[in-house]
Amino acid sequence: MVSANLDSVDNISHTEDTFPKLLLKHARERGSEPAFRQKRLGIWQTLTWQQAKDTAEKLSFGLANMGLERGDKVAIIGQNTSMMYLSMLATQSLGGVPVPIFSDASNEEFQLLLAHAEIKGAICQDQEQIDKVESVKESIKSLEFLVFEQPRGMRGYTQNYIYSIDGLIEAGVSAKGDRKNNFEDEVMAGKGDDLSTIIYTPGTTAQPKGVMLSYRALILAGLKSAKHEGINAHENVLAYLPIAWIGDHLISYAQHNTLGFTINCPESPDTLLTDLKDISPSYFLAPPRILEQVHAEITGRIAGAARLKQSLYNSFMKLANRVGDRITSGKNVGPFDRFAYLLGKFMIYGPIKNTLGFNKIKVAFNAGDPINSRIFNFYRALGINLKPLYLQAESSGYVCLHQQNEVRSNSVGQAASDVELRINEDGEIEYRSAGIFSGYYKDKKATNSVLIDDGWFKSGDAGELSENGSLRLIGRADEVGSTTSGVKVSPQYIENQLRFCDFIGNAVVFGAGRAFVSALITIDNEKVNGYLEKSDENIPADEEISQQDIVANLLEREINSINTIFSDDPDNSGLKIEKFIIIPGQFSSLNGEFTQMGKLRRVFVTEKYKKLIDAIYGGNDIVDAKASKNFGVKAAIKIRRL
Amino acid sequence: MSIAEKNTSEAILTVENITLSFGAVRAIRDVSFNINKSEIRAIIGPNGAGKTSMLNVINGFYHPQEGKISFRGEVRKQMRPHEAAAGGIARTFQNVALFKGMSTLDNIMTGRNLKMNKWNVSLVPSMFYYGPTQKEEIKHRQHVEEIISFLEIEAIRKTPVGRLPYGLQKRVELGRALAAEPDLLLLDEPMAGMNLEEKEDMCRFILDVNDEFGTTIALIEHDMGVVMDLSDRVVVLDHGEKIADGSPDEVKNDQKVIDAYLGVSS
Repeated sequence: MVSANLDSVDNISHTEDTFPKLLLKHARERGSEPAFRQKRLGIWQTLTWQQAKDTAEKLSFGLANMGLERGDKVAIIGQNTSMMYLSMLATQSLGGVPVPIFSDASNEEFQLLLAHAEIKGAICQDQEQIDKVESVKESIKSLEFLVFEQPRGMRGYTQNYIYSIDGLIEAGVSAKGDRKNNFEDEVMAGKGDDLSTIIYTPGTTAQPKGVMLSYRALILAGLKSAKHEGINAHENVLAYLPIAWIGDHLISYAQHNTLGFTINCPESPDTLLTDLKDISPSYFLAPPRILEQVHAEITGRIAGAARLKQSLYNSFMKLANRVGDRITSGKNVGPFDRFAYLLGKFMIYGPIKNTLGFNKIKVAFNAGDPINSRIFNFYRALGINLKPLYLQAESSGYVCLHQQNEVRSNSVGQAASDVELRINEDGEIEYRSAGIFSGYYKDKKATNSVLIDDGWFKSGDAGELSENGSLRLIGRADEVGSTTSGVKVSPQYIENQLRFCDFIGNAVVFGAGRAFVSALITIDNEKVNGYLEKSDENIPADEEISQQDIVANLLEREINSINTIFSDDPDNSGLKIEKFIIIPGQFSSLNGEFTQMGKLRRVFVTEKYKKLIDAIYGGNDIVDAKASKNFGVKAAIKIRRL
Repeated sequence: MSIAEKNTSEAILTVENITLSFGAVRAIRDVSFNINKSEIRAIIGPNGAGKTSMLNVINGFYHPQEGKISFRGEVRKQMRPHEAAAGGIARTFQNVALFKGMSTLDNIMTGRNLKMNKWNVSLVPSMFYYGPTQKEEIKHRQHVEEIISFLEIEAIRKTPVGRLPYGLQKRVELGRALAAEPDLLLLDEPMAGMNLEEKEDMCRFILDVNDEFGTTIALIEHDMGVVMDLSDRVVVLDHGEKIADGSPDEVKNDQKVIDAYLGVSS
């Protein structure tokens, strides 16, 4: 087993240095163990490693029949199904390079990415994806074939380059006799330094860049972090995050094939919470919104529960907040408290974790944006081993890991073993490790600007290293700046503080290079509506809620408390949000303000809301009516001062 | 979206000279039309035109005073509901007639009633459950699960339908009708009360049913866009009488229809 020799994970044997080779290994040595589980027709159906290998083999015949050769790229576009993951393996077994794409990308993004990657083929989930690729096919000269998994609606398609998975396999199996090499030989021809996949990072500022990751980088990164966390072949993982995201690729693909644990694919995006409960994963990765959603679910249910339950919950959660994290981190706790916590486990924490499907978690990571510390501590208090993960595609996700008893919501841990980490003179985080990417595809200039002497990588993130080596992320390095009066401003940090407030949905902060700090804010509709319903205010139905004074007062209170936090913090003295505008509507990835994974597109937003920003810094009290109308507000948008 | 060519020349249902009265009120006057196999036939007209009554006649709920119905070659003076159901006609209702306290799964299961082997689910085997009854249930459960997957309602499988939003209830009702594996599906305003996205989903399901299973569909609908896009032929009723019958384009441009119902397009 791969885990046998984890003492020194620096060299991987050449029989295990690509994912297809690892697939063969698992099929050979433990073929009857579950590789995938997929919920179909309401039942979890298992695919063993042997069956997985057989399917990948047949798929590879089909792809070979399409003329797929070493180095060819195949786009993979769809939800998390075993077939999508096996398509990646089948592609790689022939030396091809799978390029997973976000399935909800716009047509323009599709065209850009598919053309840039020069894909030869695309394996799509269903008709919707096929239609999207079809619509841009003309401009992608390299594209030769399309394959779909879900046959619904595909009967009328007569194009001869569109195949069903079954059709592809059938054609491939019957042409098998013509092929020179058999499956094993093809697989063994791959090497650890070959390109495993290209992950396109959604552009927060510029165009998306194609991060090239070798097998070696992914496998080593996966093995080393697994060794640190104690991840083994018996884990159960729920694969529910976009396959084009580095987080999912790292766990549900790289570590999956390296360690051989089981990937469980949900029935549909809507059934996530039920599927979580069914599977009770032992290894879990979540973006903040999932953790916030689950937390909101619990607090919502408690609010509606009977008085006794509520008071029990409140008392035990008080205890948990006091000692829970210490117990989870293995620190010293008094016997009385331990006993009370045990009681709490039986009565409150256990049942809650059971209902959520969190009762078997060995380790959980939150990746992406920082999470509200209140919510983070809630999970740790319940006994869930949640840790922030510093995840960048360029690092294969292997930069920092936590020591067991040092977990805090605002730190991503210490440098992992065999990782060198430093903060350069501009405050930017730089690191060097075995998991570093091979460069940006077809973009030497961008590669050379971040991969500097001796393999050090400039992450583009601003951070701080504490005395004990803990890394704290501040924000994107090029966003951190100062006001014209010299006050240091990290927009991301301030935005996170604002987002954690109750009535605020989202926020964008301006201040670097300007006279003072200001913010554009969207409201949390649910919370604000709930508040307004309970209050006695009578707001006419056709009036824009975001411009009402009562709502502005609510937000002012929240922002004032944040300003107080700043003034109390010696690092942030002088920092103060002075003006803000409440924007009607919401920010979303559809409107372009955010990427699919929730990262703010600052340049885009600054451009889109230019009129509002100019009005704020122009000393006005309101935005002129014409501009206001563009944002959907009849009356003039008000600028609020603090 | 392209659909494979379908053969819709043979009539599966014909109604001839149907007259239906409730006392002095004549709901339907001497209406005749047919529905061809595997086509999507829209029945449109202003409120009170007799559209739902027409569906009820086809289904056997109402018995016309005059005229006859011919379904799959068999001529009857009037249909009885159980004959219609057993013969392969299933329907949905304008105001959703689901069992509000039962889950989505159970509601759709009730649509399988007529397909169940009567002996396997009779009293004695059911008492013991394990054995023939369980096998029967599994067989039908699989079918229902396929419908649930088809209609993308896995997330509400176990939810009591009374708690579902209106749009989803309509989808569940469609599922129940599909569970009966009908040859002719009667849909009474399946998209009433839905927003644009829900309507688009419903249209897709209807087209998929027609495309994948070749099910003949008779559809009462008020949204003209839906009618034009979905249907192969249209019959227009007004005050109980048929005033037009033909392809969507023919009907759209018929002066009588414009005067009675459509108005002038902007």
